[in-house]
Amino acid sequence: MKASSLGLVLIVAAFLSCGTSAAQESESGRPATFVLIVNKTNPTVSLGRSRVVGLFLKKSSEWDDGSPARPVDQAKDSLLREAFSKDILHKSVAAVNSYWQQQIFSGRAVPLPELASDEEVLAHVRLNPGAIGYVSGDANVSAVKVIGVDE
Amino acid sequence: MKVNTSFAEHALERENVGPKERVIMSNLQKCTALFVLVAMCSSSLAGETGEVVIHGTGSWAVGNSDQYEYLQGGGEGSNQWQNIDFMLNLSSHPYENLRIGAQLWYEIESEETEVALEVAFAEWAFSEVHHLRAGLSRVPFGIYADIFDIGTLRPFYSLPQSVYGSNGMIPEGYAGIGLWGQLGDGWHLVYDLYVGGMKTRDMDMYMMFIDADSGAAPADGDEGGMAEMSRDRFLDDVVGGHIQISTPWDGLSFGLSSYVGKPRAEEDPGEGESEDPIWSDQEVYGVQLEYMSDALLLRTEYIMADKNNGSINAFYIELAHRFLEHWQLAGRFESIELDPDLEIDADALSLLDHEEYVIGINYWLNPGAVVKLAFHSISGNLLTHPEGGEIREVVEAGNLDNSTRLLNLGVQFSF
Repeated sequence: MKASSLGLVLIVAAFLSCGTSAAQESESGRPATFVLIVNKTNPTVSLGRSRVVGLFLKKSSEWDDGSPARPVDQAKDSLLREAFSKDILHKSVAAVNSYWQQQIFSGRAVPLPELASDEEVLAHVRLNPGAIGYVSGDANVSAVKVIGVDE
Repeated sequence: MKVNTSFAEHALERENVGPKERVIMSNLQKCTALFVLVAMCSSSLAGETGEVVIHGTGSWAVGNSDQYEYLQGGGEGSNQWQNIDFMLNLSSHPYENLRIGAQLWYEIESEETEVALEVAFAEWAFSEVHHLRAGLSRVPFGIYADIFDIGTLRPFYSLPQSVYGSNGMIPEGYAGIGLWGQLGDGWHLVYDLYVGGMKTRDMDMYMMFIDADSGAAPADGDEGGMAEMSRDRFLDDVVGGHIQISTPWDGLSFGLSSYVGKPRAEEDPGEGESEDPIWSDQEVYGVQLEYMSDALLLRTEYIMADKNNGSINAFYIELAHRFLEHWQLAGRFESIELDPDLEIDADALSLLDHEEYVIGINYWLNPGAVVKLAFHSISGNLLTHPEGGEIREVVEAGNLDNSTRLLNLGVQFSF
């Protein structure tokens, strides 16, 4: 195969693979509400919105006591993530995606780990003292701590 | 679009390595490519300690320029289809505070294929305020220099050439040591400091038309002379810095950039050739302003450079608006003006300027894939001019046309 043909095949394959991710949709049709959760050992009661933005965009990576923060995100195509991006980050999921591309290719950071469901986020936050995540408003949060967001 | 050649090649040229070492380097690049592909098939993409994170970007375009060659257009109205590039970005945290990054570049342009390792660094995070990096890194300068090749992060297929083109001002990378960090939540500051070496590409065609009364000899106008006018130049002992400040108003940020470096004199000039004159330091300064919301994008930059052979002022402003979910309308004006220390023949003065208006429409399939159509109207011959040995003949005959139009259609993606 000629180099140019190989290059074109690579481009087309990657382009098509980018397109398929957009076709996935959440099956839930109802409006998504979320709560912010941390590990039960975390003394935080509430955070300012800009502080939450800082943690979820990796602009800051530590809690106030200097311990490392470990935020996790929901899946790209979830309605919960869409609601969180809009209400807290004040950006669309697409804009957040652009932000991460900028971070990745400039060599500064990689995106947050994405977990596929509320259950996975709850398990991660329960097991990691520095963790922070968000789950549906009706999720069982008895094993973690719900914190508020101040404007 | 790729203006400078690979930085790995830069390193090879610096060390004057022989063909054997080049073969080794070539094999190393192939091994890296293989490793990346294997990693793509096997790794999870979570970004946790010990895992390898793979991302990539690519572009393809067809262009047609009516007069001279420019960007994807081959000139004289011919369609140029061979504009393909692909880049893989590899990042890993072997330990909590240690990060390794690499970027592998593959490009086909006008029948020429190039594979290069463009970025390869190791970084230690002392805290979020202090990250120390060593190796080959993107240059933190202005808005686009550290995301040079990422088409999905800009409204047009190509970057504004007045600022990011072959004008010897903004290189793609540096080899050396850098320190960067960030602080603040509402007002957020990102800073970069770096020292090392750089390679820029100059295209000083006007040097062939130095006025004889100025006392300096014009360069040859043959093929060799052309190559001399368009060549890579190395800067040593570079010291640079960049700050970007994001404001509490979502999407609004501004920044400053600068570097100073010593141009390297030509080594071992051939018999009968003169050595380069003593070169003064090259100083480049830039300011940037950006506003970005879900629908609106505004970016503008002004760059000024004080180089060995004169000064440069360059500017662009671009505006883009998203509508109907998938569509985006974009416009850009850009300008660059050279002010050389030497007098230039009156017939060749247009080789000192470039002005460009661009309008474009984009269709975003999703945030990571876009189809772009753009029309460029260029005046001035700094970046668009006859190729090969024709330029002297054309200028002396008074036939240098200072306008070129380009139409290009391309796709760009990233993941």
